[in-house]
Amino acid sequence: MEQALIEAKEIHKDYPLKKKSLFKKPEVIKAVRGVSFSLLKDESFGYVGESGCGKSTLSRLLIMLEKPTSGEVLYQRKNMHKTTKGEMKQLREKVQLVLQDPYLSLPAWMKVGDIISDPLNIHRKKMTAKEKRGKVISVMAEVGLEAHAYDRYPLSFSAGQRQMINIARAIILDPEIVILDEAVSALDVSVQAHILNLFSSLKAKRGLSYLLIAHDIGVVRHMCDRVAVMYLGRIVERGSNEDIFENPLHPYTQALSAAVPSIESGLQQEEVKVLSGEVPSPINIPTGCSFRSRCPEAMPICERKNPQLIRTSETHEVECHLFD
Amino acid sequence: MKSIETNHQDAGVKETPADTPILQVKGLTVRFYTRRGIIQALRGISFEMKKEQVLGIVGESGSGKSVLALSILNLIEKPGEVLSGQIFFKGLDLLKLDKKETNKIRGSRISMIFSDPMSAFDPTLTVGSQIIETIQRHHKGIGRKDATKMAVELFRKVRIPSPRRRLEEYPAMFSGGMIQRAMIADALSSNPELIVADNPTQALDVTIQQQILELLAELKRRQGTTLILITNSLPILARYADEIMVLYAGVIVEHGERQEVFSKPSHPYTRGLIDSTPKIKGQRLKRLKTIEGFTPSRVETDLQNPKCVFLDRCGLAMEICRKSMPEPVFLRDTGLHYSKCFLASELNQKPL
Repeated sequence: MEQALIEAKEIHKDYPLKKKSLFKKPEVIKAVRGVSFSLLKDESFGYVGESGCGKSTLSRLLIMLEKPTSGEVLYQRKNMHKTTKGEMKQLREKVQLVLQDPYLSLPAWMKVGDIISDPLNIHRKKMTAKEKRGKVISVMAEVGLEAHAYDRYPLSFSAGQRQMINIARAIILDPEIVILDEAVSALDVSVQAHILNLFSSLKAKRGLSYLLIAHDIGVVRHMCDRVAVMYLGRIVERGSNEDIFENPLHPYTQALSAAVPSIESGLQQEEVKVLSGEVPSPINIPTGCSFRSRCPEAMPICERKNPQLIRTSETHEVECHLFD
Repeated sequence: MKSIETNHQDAGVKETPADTPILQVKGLTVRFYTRRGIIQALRGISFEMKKEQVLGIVGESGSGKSVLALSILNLIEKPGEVLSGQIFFKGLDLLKLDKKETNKIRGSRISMIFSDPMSAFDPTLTVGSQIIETIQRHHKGIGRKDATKMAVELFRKVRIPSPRRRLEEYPAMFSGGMIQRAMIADALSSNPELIVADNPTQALDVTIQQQILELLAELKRRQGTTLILITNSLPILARYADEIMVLYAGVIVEHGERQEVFSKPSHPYTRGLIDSTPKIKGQRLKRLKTIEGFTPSRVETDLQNPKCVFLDRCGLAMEICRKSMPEPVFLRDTGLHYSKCFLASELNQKPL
């Protein structure tokens, strides 16, 4: 069995809200409710889901910005949240993050070169200034930034170029895993295509593993080998790219794919099955299956019992009573 | 001195009395004056719309699509300026109206839906009070009780559940999809003849986006509204638009019927946009075909330089493209589908 780089075991993350009264229990936002998965070496694993599904919380837990309420996140079999300071520092080199907003993520007062070399100042203290500069220029070339950008400020760059700066900063420590949290969502379509191609090249060249979190199903389909579909804090379906996109089993996965506009289906005026209703609040999650309030196939059992994860093939799993 | 905007000709503007288009835009040129220079937001835009038609306008950052929406509603203010052009709404030049006349039309006969619903609603007032105010403004003499009834009915029309309760809530209490519906309700309250929807589903989840677009399509059918749908996502227009207009750097680079533009895209930018979009069906590609470069910085250093606007990013650029902006090349007998490219005819015949 391939060794997993990251293993998540039944992680939960709750955010308690302020107590409203002395006598009532405080309300709790259940952002992640028992998620387990493994990220293997050299793979691109994608999380797709809409608002409130918990994917952003998940990325914060995996990058160690927050601790899970329960459950474990293991990196090479060691618990990421129970490490020594030294181990944590090493871990941070191995697992990097690229975020969505190309504007807020770059300090406007720092030169591009200094932004990219910043991680070296923390993790490679033994490098000379000359060596650092050399490494920065090399990484800039890798992502497609011209060397003269080193002495410029982020303000003069477009959104796509700013993301390139973010990516350069993320790879300069030669990480093993990069978490891409909506990394292309704020970009124009033509720029997004560039950046996605850049991600593919970097992965191939550097043997990176990606955890891609996105609401754009097209992006996930393009980039990811394996995909997990999230709804209200749980993984409702998981499988290979082909499993999820050619044979989606969970009604939510089907609705999600059907809701994505495509030129072919649009031109043919194919009938649209609109998923009704809204995502329930993560404070008030429906009993039984959390999707039942919007599910076109809901049955009486869906209200009474939580569906269990069922394996339908070697790669494909789904949490739905239709497959009991 | 010939500058780029005077090189353009009106495309396909017919003026038969029996068939007067509801909207006619002629040679619209808009500039913004900023500290860093002059931005040519729109350059000689010309098009027309028939009643009940849906025009889809697609463009990325800097294309000028939002400026076009604001121009139609006569909302261009300093540092922006409408340099030239006319916008005829049922024969009336909107740009020549005074404040009083504009206010009569804006929000009543022509309504707008924004991409950021929070910019349409005052966060300190309940949604209901704002919609009721809009209703009372456009239905002279209507009392509060009747206006409230209308508001409830509008909320029902846009499928907001528990409408009475919702009217008493503040914008912050609405989800993204709900507030968007409320904005549509507000835009519909005057029974407008033309709705300009600027990226109405931008920040919404894809399942909610689908609900909103289907709702807009249904309402349009029922009320016979003419609709301009502006987006940066081309696939949306495949289902909902009758005609597609592709904007790049303030210029219409391609315009035609939906089927034609999608099956025979005739401009390198249109083709690039289609190629750049990752597909969820069909062959999974290793790399996406991309358009070179980035969406242009909109500060013009050389306003008089008559090159093709797409030159810097075009993989098919030739010498002639450096010397002039291509005239529209018409690709069908009816003259509806055109593309501003010297290679338009070849591209039209070439499958993607």
